[in-house]
Amino acid sequence: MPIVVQLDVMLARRKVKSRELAEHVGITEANLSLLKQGKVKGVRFETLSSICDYLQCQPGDLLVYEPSEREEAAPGAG
Amino acid sequence: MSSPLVSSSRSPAAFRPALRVRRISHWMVWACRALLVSLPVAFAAYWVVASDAQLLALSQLPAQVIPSVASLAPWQRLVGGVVMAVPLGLLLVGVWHAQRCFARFAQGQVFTAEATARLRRFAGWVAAAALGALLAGVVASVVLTWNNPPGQRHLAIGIGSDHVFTLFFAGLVWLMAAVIGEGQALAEENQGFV
Repeated sequence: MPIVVQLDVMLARRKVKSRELAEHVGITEANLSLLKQGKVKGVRFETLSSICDYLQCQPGDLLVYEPSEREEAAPGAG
Repeated sequence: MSSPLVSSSRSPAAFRPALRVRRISHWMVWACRALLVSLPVAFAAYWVVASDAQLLALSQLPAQVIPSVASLAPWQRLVGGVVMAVPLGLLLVGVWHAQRCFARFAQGQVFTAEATARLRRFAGWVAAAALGALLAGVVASVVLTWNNPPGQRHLAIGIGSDHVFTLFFAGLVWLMAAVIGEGQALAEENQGFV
């Protein structure tokens, strides 16, 4: 998946614990852990908004698009 | 991507429909269990106690033929009862699947593959019971008129509104199971989101 979740980086920068963020967002620590590892199919806007609100950041700080070599070589990829 | 997500907190209002489904399903489990016990007992008792005319009416024989039928021998009651028990047995298998399905619903597992499969099986067995009842009626008419003189034995074939309705009901349940299957796919998709 070319979308990389950098939530752990932002947590470290803001010095916020996963438990605190999970409590604020209203999801379980287990789900937050899966989100940090990028092991989810998607993130609801409501969840994303709540994370950005607590960490004072933008969605782009949390999600980064890193195309694989194959995708870069594909026609129309630029 | 395949890691199962732990369900997040939901508002109490969001739980109300699920609780209602669970409560009703709990009662339906007991209703199914009561049917599984009472139907065979009532069926056996009926074939022992009922009059000859009442049993002949069950076998789809026309009303005007029934008075001319010789009184039933014990073996005719026994064989007739066994033949007519076949569709009941098919129906009971369906009820057992329904009971297992309601047990899943009672545990809050509504959109699961097993619940959908159980519901489909229930529909299939009910349809089989309806078709079995048609055939059993034919065989029972032969068995129950076996003691008649030659030329007065009957083979009755009949389809009633109850058979048609049962088949329609089975089709409806099968379709509802398919709809729940679609819901199950959506629920699985939704589970992958945080």
